Amino acid sequence: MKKLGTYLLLATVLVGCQTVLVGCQSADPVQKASPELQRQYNAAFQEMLKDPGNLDAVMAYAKVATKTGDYEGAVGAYESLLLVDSNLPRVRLELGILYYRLKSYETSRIYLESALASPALPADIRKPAELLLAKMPKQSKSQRT
Amino acid sequence: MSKSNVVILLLLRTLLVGAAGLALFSTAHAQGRIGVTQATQNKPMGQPPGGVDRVLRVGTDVQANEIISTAADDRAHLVFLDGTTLTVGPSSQLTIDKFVYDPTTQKGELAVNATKGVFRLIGGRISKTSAITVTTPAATMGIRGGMAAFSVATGGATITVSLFGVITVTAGGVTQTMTVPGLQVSTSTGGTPAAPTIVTQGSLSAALGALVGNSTATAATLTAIQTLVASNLGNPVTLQALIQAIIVANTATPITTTTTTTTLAVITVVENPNQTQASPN
Repeated sequence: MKKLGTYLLLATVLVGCQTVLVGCQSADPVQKASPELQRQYNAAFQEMLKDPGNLDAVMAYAKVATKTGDYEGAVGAYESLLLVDSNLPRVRLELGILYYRLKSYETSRIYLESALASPALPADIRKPAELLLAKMPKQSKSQRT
Repeated sequence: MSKSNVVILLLLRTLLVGAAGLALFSTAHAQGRIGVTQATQNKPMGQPPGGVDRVLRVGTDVQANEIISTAADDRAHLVFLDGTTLTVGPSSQLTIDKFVYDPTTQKGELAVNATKGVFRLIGGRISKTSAITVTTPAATMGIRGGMAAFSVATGGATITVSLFGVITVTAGGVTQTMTVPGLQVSTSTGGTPAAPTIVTQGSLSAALGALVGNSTATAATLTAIQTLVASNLGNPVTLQALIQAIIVANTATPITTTTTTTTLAVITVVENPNQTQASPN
């Protein structure tokens, strides 16, 4: 069962990476989403704007933004939670995965390592996070612009 | 239809389009609201144009031309109407120079002037079609479709870190462009931007660390946690309840919640913290 969870998480990340690669060709992934997903996205964003202190609204927006491929939007929402309390390993894990999807590996590594450093991170998601960290490409000079 | 009628119709159309454009622009100014404060730590301040200083609380509207400032222990996280977010670190100051956004076309313009401190800007809809401009005493940055963290020293020297997207740094007639995350460009006041270099884990970690809340809880936060635990003796305190309590302790606006289950992108947190599962996405 744990292996299944591991594969699910890795598959999620890899599919996300493909979305990023496709997303690089289109300026805005939200505009490429289905009308229904766009509606959900816009509704979630408006709800968060209307009631920014509502944790459910922030979480809902982060989730639909991730689903839509707007990883920047999801990052912004999760980062706001870390401003309230930096000791949220699950949120750090989410950020680690999102930055990985954006190929922002150094930032991803920081968030994954800090999530894993927390004893509060449940064991069943610790292993996939460790695997993702192990797969992390190291930035080389060849990537420089 | 005669030529004169066509001309009149064209003139009328031009006037109507112009009036609509003006209405859109003036509405933004009349309402003044260009975004909202989403999260804060301690007492970040905002000074709207023509107004007096006010503490930015969760839910406080942010206006065009507002000056945002923080003291040594303050932080603020703002979300703009186009989805752009701006995190303001401690001992920082910036002015929101311009915000124009048309939700129909999802296009607009955002310009910020940062004079000191550390910041992170995550571009929303506007940045998908045009670069968000950040001006500092040393450089002008363009953030297109992406995310950047930047610090401005007291003298104005600026370090820009690319987190995603296309980030340009211009000064003294020289422009450096970063298209790969994890690079940084340093610009001294009066100088030109240096070539991009790979950001070190230490400096990146320090910059990101300055943009999250203190791990040491404030007195209000501690009190909220103690109250929550005391009122739930014998029952596990959920992550959601804990975050709610912390937010409530640090905000003047009421917090609302509609569900008892918090769902993250890959992890579902259920009422019993021992029951976790991977979500399907």
